[in-house]
Amino acid sequence: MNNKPNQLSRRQLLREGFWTVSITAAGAAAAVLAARSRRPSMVWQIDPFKCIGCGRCATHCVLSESAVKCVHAYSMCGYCDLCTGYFDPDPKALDTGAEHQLCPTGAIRRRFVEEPYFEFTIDESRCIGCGKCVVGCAAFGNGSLFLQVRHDRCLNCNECAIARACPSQAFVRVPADRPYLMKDQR
Amino acid sequence: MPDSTEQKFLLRQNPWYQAAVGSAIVSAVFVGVIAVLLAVQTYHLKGTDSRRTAKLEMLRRQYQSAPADEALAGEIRDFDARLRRDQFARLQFVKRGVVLLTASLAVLVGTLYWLGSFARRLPHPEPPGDLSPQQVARAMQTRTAVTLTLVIMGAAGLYMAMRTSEPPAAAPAAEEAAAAQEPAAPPPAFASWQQMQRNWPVFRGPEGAGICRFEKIPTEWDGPSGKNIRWKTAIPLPGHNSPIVWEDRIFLTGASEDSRQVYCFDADTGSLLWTGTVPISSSPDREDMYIMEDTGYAASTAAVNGAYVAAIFADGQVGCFDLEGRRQWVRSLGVPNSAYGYASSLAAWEDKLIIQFDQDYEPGRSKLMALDFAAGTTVWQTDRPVPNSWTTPTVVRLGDRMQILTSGSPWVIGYDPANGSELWRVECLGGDVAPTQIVAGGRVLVIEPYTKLAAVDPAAGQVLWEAGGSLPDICSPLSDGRLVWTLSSEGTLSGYDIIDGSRLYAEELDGFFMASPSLIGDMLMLVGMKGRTLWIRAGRAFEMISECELGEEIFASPAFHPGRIYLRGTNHLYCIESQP
Amino acid sequence: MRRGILTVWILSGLLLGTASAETVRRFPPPQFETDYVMPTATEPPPRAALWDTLDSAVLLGTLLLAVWLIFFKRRRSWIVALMIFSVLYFGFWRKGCVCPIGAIGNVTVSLFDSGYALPLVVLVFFLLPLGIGLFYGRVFCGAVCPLGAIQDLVVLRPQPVPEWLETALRLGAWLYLSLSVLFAATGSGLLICRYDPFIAFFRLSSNSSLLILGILFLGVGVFIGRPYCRFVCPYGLLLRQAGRLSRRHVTITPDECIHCRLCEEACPFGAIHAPTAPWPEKTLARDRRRLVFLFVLLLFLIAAGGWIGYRLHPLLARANPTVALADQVQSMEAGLRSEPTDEIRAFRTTGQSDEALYAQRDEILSSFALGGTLVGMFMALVAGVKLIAVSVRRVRVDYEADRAGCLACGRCFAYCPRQRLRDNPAERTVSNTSLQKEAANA
Repeated sequence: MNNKPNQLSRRQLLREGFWTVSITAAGAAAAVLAARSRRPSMVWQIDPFKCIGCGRCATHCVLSESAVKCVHAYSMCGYCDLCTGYFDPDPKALDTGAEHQLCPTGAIRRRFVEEPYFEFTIDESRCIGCGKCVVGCAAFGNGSLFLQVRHDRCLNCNECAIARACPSQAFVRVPADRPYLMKDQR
Repeated sequence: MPDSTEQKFLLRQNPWYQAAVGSAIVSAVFVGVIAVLLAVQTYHLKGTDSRRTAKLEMLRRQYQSAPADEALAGEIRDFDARLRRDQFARLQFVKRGVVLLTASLAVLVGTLYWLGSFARRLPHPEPPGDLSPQQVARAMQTRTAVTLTLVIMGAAGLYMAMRTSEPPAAAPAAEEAAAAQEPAAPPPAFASWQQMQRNWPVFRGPEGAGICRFEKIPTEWDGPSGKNIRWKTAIPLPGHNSPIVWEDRIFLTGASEDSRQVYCFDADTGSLLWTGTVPISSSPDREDMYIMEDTGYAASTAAVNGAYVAAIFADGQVGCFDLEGRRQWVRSLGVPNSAYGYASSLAAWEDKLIIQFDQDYEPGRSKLMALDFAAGTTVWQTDRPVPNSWTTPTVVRLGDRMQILTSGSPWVIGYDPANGSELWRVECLGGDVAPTQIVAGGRVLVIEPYTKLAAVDPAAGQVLWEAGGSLPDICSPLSDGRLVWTLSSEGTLSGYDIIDGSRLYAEELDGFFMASPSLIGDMLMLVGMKGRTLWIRAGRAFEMISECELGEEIFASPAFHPGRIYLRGTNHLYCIESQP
Repeated sequence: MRRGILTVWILSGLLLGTASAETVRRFPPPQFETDYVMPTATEPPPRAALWDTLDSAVLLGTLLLAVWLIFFKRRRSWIVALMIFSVLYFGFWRKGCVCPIGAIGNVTVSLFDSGYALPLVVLVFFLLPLGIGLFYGRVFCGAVCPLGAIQDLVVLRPQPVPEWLETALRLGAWLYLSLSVLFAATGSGLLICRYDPFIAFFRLSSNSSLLILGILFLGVGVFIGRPYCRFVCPYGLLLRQAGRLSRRHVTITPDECIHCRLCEEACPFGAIHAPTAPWPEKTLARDRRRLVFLFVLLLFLIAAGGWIGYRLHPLLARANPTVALADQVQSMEAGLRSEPTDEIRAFRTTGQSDEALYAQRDEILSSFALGGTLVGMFMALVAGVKLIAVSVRRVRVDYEADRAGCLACGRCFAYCPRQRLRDNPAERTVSNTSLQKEAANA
């Protein structure tokens, strides 16, 4: 037992050494990483240019009601009577009847402005971010409807569940001080 | 000490204990009911939702075939409204349900604590027994357990590895299919797109974007001491064109006022295998031809399609050779009227040689041509609404098709390589355009000299963003799909975000740069005019890694092949390879 | 009339295929004659950047407060109050994000991907608990971590877990940590965040599988104290090492241990070690031989681990989206798949060639080969070191909290008679006799 104090001090020495190494490593890591880090934080956003409107935004968000909604770039809109983002591919009549609409939740409001123009607005409380209208508008219209992550809803998960499911890797991190990628404001 | 049954009896009499038991039961039942309701609601409605949607789809299909049926339309409207009401009700229910569930769980835990406080057990250590053997046994058990876990993990790993060790089924199938087809079809006189990708057939590589995907590229060398220089060979005539590589051959061109030559070097030894000559133009316009000294007679990089190599010179003379150096044909396109001298490089696509022949100060005589690589005849020719430019056409895959991309003031235009028809165009350029467009992240990136960097959406045909800064007049941009870099002749390296064009940094480097930058892995390779190459980290912030000296001036962009870099100095061609 | 134009467009679109879209804008912006004002889309802002600073400040504050409560105040009830605050703030208010456990992923990504911008707040969250850990041990686990706290609050009927089981299960946590690092380093995703079991509660919204996972962990946690912290948490492993080295560590008693044995069963996490009994003298030589054998075995284990890890890399690499995409494209090109998936359709719009994608895949595969080998070697190293550590004859004189395993929850404080005396000096007269009795027993 007389080697016990000796043993203890050796352990002590080892621990001291490891401690110094660790604290130095932590300091160095802090310095290296701080040089690479940035403020403000980054937030998720959809690059509307990469988005193919697959519809997974509606189903993969951790929120039961997706944080992704349709956004309308009015300045790009043609205000068409026959809006292919609003109507079925082959509508029988151009009115607001549910039987003609593309949107599964009726989240697009159609309003007459003046001959021959109609305004289309998104009712965000109804929009589920399925992107049906986005595909419709991009196929034959100006592409003024597009999906965006709405930051009043988004929790900014570290690993966004939709980003993981996105087939076109359209989910990108953007600086929080410019959190939207609006189609008409580039 | 009271008897334990008596203790229990007394406890049961305690009204607070009764209250605690009661509230625990109530909250437990509450939690259970909510959990079950939530589960049922989620599961049940999920099922009905899809069934109802299917029903709605069916109704709508019926309506499509009978548009006059007002009753059916009414039914659809009612059904649709009901569907939505249900959906929002369900969402609301789930939202409230989860809050209630969490809250009631918290209450349950609280009451259980309360309940526990009545029957708090005092610590009551048992007599210890003989500790020494227990201690030894515990260590033995732990060793056994760790060993067993290790064995189980190892076995599971091995089992999974065995099951997946077969290579992906698709790869051999594809190769077999290709192998099976090959003898049937006559061998084509050009290499496949895949083979092109494995070489460096045109200016800035197979996609013309300066991206090297080859492995083991050396990052250190020193010209004066010969470190990592595999060989160095003198080039007979000068030229600013860049080397191109096909398998074991390197091609480049050189010219003086009265001679035009194409050279082929052996990739392993650097020996000059053959020299081909192209006659100078006999056109009288040659007398008026103005060639800037900085441009020279051989600024255009040659192109190889796996069977033939072709070169173009400042006087519009095009010559084609097979890989053994036998001249196949020569075409005189006429002396181009170019402000600084013709400099567009050639592009190769299957059996076609693509030439962007932009000239004059006003649009009118510029054209894009596709020549038959083997015969030199014109396959198609399309007029271009641009004045003279110094950019290179690139053949890339966009969407489900191949396209030829071109830049010239003010248009970026995409053409169909099959017939030269225009697919799309976007107006975003001005001035004397020399940097060549690249494709990255689905965008086409172009530079208007000194003024702006622009990202173009080729499918919608619109400009996505434009960015300013110290932009180049010669060097083409570079991108890894997320970031874009530009390098000006005066040495300003700028980094941009490809998403929105925001400038991340602008770093002033030492020296002048004529060669376009290249991307190797996560490093940018910038070849300076004085022969110094800088390696920069391809990141959001500027980070210099190292530099190498060649000891000779460099104007040409580097060419790559697995394990090697080919650099053209003013007088010599260098092969750089890591020495073992 | 507009409709007619549209029909022509649709027809031509169908004929030519949508890829040949050529105009900037199919329909020009309307010229309104009425005084219609064009609305603009709203842009609700994300959380202000100030909140990041506040989060960091709250983290620092709670950590310092936890140090004070655990080392100086030594009161479980106060620590519980801080836990409840942490659950409410970092959990329910901040929705469980940002947290140091998930930050492992971000920090790894930023080390391997120079294009990734690491938010400063994430860096702070990663380093601060570790830094404090080097001085005071796992105070973060004790009172600040919302995941730990929510589990700690449901520890109602803790059952002891035998040491062998605990040690064996912890190997799973090491595997989880190394795979998380591998996946983050190769850009294949952040595993830790993907399988955070309590996120469903903190967000009050989730898919059912995560909710079930959370309920499972909490349900098990009633009987097995803090199962996530002890058998899963990768950050806990880092903090374990910090705890081993820490300048100060949690002590059961504020004074000298009197060996009363009252604290023996106090810890629901099995982190209190009794003093060691004397090791048998006669097996000394055999034990030493075993140690030597284990050291030799360690080398073989590492080699075998590396080999298995290497063999597993193609399987692991399938988790990478680029590898998965390349496989899809390749099977499409080989004619094994008739309908293009959304991923293939999206890839075709990027302008990248198949070969370039395959080259990318090969690059990722080779990094997985290296990473898989390293993971295998590392796991073997961990297990081997564990075997050696168990076989070393340790000597402990007093009842001690395990430096690595102690979660600093403060439960044992109240079990120590010395502590009770400090808290209630009035008890002194009564307890002195019993203390003496205990001392005599010991």
